[in-house]
Amino acid sequence: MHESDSKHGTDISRSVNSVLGTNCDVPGTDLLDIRGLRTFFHTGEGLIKAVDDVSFGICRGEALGVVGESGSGKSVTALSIMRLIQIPPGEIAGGAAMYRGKDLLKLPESKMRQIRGNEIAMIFQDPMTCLNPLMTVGDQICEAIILHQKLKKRDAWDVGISMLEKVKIPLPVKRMKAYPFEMSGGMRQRVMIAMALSCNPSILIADEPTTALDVTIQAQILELISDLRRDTGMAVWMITHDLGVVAETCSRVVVMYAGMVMEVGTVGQIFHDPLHPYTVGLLSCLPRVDKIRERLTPIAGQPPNMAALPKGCPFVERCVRAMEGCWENRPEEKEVGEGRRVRCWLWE
Amino acid sequence: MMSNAVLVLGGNRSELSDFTRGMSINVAFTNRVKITPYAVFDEESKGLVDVDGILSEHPDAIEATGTITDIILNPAVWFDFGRSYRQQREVRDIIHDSFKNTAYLSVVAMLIAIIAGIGAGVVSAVKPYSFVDYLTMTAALIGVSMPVFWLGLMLILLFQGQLGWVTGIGFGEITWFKVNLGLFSFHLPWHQNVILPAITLGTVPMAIIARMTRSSMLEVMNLDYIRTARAKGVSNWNVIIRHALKNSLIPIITVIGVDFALLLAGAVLTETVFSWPGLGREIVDAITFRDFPIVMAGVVLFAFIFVMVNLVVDILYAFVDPRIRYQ
Ligand SMILES: Nc1ncnc2c1ncn2[C@@H]1O[C@H](COP(=O)(O)OP(=O)(O)OP(=O)(O)O)[C@@H](O)[C@H]1O
Ligand SMILES: [Mg+2]
Repeated sequence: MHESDSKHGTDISRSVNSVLGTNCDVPGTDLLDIRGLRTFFHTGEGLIKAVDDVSFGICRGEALGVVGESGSGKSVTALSIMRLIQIPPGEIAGGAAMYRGKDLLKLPESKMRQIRGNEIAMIFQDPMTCLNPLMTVGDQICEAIILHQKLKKRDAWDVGISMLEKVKIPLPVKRMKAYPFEMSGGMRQRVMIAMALSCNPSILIADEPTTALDVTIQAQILELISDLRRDTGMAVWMITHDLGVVAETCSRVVVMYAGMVMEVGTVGQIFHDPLHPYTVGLLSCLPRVDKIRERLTPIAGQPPNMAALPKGCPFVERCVRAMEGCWENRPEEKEVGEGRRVRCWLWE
Repeated sequence: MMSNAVLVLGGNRSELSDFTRGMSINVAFTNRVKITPYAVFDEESKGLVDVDGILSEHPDAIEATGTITDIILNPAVWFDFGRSYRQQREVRDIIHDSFKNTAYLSVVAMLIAIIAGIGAGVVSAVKPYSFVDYLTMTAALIGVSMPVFWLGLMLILLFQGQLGWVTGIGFGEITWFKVNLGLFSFHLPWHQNVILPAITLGTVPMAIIARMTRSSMLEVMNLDYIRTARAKGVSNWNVIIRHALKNSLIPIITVIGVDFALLLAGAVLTETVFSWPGLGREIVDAITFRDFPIVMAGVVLFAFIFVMVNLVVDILYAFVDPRIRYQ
């Protein structure tokens, strides 16, 4: 893998080849299939459609990247699938999430609890605040193991030690008894990963797992996640706003904007042949070593006000290729190739 | 209205002056107690000392003069305040007897307050802005604002007068029951008349604890590690008890400590309504009759209680939160 995210440009094709060794031949809807998910928030400023008609699938063992600017609904999508949205103010207004023949959105809470942490695990952005400060690392890891695998405390403790070994924490026996405040950010994120993987989930949702860490630690954590994915055969749903991270770790990409999926494709397609002007914009914000360019070009304008989206395409205000009709009519998602979709009037 | 009185005396005339020399104590007196500031009883002349006069003659009379030996030899340090003027008993014994009763009442009241208060706070925080939440918090508001003597009288009227569930009032018989905890066993006193005064006394702390629990829990429930726990599949109640409540405990322990110290300092109104021979009544009687040794013993005891309770609270912090360490 690569040491840092600052030179991924040259490595894109290599990254793609290195990760495409998944068993997901037909991109699509193998393990988890999200269809038409809508999650709304009822707030003081009005109805916020944080996730509006989002559909994509995750195959067994694949690494799927979900990218988009801040506020585009990446986290809310994942939290909706985990049923961790607070209701109210939140509301899952529609859609389905089929996982092994069950619709996660309709499962009773008790059944959902058996899936959380057991079959679908999640790690979060800020490892400094995501661990309970009053419980030892060992107790926090064992909690899930005891719960899902029905082990005795002592056996769970041994599993916990082996998990810490797996995420390459030195002196795991000693570290089990440490409190989170005695560890660095990178260590804590490793603990989070150990905790998430302790029950061998089939999907790991990683919500910006490296955003809060410094660059060298970021690379280590990403490499760890990729290695563990390869070893265990779990699927990774990598949420990030960093295309470099996607290039390094994922095989397929979902690009989100304002709660909608703008484009779906393989890493190669997205990086070499982006269709949506938003994707093009995101890519041109990316520093590349292989092209001599004087300045990076940011996407003009601000992320949209989610309470007052334009009537037509949500991206129209910032789009360099906006046309007359874009202001009036919202484009539908369109299949433009195998496993490749885009939501833009340019491709209708 | 509150006014502060500073007890001072120069010279070396009595036991009392031994103690007061070099010390000044702020006592909060209620309006009801007619006492002039700077009034000090002198044992020899059996009258009030003209403190203003002494001060004008010896302006340094209030200066601290104690050395370490003076302090150690000071009888007050050994809680020896001599005899009461009125009761012809050792002050130490009077305080001991009444404090025992107050402590017993306070412990029972506090147990009720803690259990009910934390319970109500948790229930509120689990479903904020729900019917149950509004109900509990309205009850807590009423509890905080309820005049204690009125509540006490109403409870007597209801449980003794109307329902007849409670028979005795005042300080009746104590029964001892044995608690067996396998390896060791001990005896605990049970006082059947304690229930009504304990509820009366515990109502205000209960309401304060409930409100503090709710707000502290609500803050914690939105934190990232609670979401992590839920993402692990931990059940709702386990999230609430193991993760949220434990992390909310610091402010709750703080108010419990303050309230407990206040109760231990005696509860005049409750003790009067229920004829409970406690410290609060003893002190107020002493103030009314200007029985200064008792008043001073009480003040010193209160100061000691507050210091000790705060110390215990500080130590408890370290038990709850591993990040808190005292070197
Ligand atoms: N509890 C909530 N109440 C109201 N609005 C919310 C709530 N949670 C999220 N939102 C809104 O949903 C939208 C999507 O938020 P989300 O957290 O999914 O963004 P994101 O893509 O994960 O961004 P980031 O990169 O910053 O994590 C935002 O506009 C946000 O304001
Ligand atoms: Mg997010």
